[in-house]
Amino acid sequence: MRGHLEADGLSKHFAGLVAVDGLSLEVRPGEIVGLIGPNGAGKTTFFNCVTGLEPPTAGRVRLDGVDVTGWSPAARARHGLARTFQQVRLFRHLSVRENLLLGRHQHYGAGALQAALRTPRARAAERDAAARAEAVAERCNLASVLDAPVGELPYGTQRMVEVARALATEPAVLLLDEPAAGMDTTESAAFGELLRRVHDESWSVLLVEHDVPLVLSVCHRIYVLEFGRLIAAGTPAEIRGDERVRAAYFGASVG
Amino acid sequence: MAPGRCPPGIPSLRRGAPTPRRSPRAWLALAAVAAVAWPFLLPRTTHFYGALATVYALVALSLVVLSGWTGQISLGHAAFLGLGVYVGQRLLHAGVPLVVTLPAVALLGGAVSLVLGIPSLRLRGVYLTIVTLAFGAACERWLFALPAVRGYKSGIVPRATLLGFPTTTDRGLYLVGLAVLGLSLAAVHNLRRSDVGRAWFALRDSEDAAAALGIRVAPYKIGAFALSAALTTTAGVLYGMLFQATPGPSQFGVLESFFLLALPVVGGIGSVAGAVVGGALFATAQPVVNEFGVRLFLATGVMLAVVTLSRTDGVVGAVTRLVRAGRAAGGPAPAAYGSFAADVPTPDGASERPVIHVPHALPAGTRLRLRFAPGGGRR
Repeated sequence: MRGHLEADGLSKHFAGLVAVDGLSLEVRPGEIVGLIGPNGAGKTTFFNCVTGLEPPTAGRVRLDGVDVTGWSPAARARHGLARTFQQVRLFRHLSVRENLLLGRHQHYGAGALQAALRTPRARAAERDAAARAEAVAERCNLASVLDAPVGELPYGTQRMVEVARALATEPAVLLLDEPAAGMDTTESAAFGELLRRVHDESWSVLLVEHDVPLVLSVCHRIYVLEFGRLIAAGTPAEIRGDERVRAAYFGASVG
Repeated sequence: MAPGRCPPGIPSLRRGAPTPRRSPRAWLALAAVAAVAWPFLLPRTTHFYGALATVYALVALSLVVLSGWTGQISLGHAAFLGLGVYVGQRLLHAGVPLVVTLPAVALLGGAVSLVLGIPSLRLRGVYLTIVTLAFGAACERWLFALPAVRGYKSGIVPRATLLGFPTTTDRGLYLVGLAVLGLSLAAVHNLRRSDVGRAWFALRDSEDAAAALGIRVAPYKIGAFALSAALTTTAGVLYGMLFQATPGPSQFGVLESFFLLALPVVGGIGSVAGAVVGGALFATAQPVVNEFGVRLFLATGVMLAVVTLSRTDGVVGAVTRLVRAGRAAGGPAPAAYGSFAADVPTPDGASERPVIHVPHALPAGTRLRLRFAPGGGRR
């Protein structure tokens, strides 16, 4: 089974400020797990430690039993960790198709020399990548914009392209950093629906999100973070009923 | 599916039959024939400029890869050109055949670029530019002045034959240059259409996002630099053969690197075609500006300013824009892309956004008018 992500006692200190404080979290194979918390709770810092953008001060990160704590982001990606960014980072000079094709980078079956000479093997690699990219686009409702320059798409659709590009890597774990930011309520509901539809047992998801209705509707389990510490963990129903969570996060707005 | 309903997916207004066009292959064949045939039709004095154009186009191509696609700036490319001139001259004088000299000099250029590039790999931003600036200055002031490299006197560069094909006439050298350029264009174009080209664009736009897809940023950056250096050094061999002499080191200084950068910028730095246009334009610019009594340096500055201010990708970008505008004038309006969410049914069935399904059998260019009737049904 692929897609087992474990963070064990992860801490991150910035010059005296404790952003993440001994956080342990587990995403089991095939699960969709949510991580929520108020602004400044340490969600993004935790995310960056898991993906390798920032080294943690203490703690370990394991992916499918392999300790990846000291690994570079690219090495983690090749081990099956795909991610999206809080601010959309699409390759804006490329079309949607080329963005999705880049998701196939790890699986591309030809080297630079073969590509330059356009050998039969390079052609086969290109055909295979194109077919897979189109299949991902189909699943993510993006087939009709494949040839659009990404810059011309509405913001919500751009976010979906980023998710599709991460999916094209065939990840073991997909980490989504606030994917619904910038989407309107229809889009965020549609996004949740699409995520449920494309998700299957062979990979897992860690969803860091502000959009509480989205997290409650798609996640199997949810962790709640406040001031760098976990204050609750459980199923959506348990989280909804948790007094401490209501006090810390939902306030009076979710009743 | 109800009649007249769109298939699932994002509604796009870009429907309708595509305009029939001549295939790119036909255009390419036409251009190749013209490139080989023109020196046989025009007087001999023009052949020199043709040969110069192949050299400039090779340099411009190398900068399209480096600056246009990976966003790195080199101020040492004139020095790489000089390296090709001097080392090429030595090899040719030693009796090394041209067919060996060209790849050998390319490998040398690539090797030097690795020495320069690898230390600056861990750093981002302008560090490669600074390293190449130092390299350019060191070559101009020191390396190229060494007696073993050039000496203070100009050396004669022989016009060697390429596999029995003579380059003693400018036409012969032009055709050899054209062959080298053609092979380079094909290889670079193939790379652009492959995963390598996409990875170059990706790391230019966002190194973090590229790394998140498993792209090893460093080898791709250094690879582009090495390919670029190899192309320019190769061009140097032909450059020396064209003048049949080794120009002084000051011809390959840092200022000259800025001039070389103007070639692809004015031609169009985003595309392989821009390199060819830029090379041809600047090779023929000298006699044209002489005609008007203007310095080439001034003319270059004006052209750069026009390209920058017009926000087009050089000549190729401007032509592409004109052609698109011409097509759009007769055809349907440019595409407007909808949201991916338009056809995803939400769990509760409620949609805050009215979804309008347009039968896609509508002729292209049809204008739809919407009227909002308060109180009326949405569908």
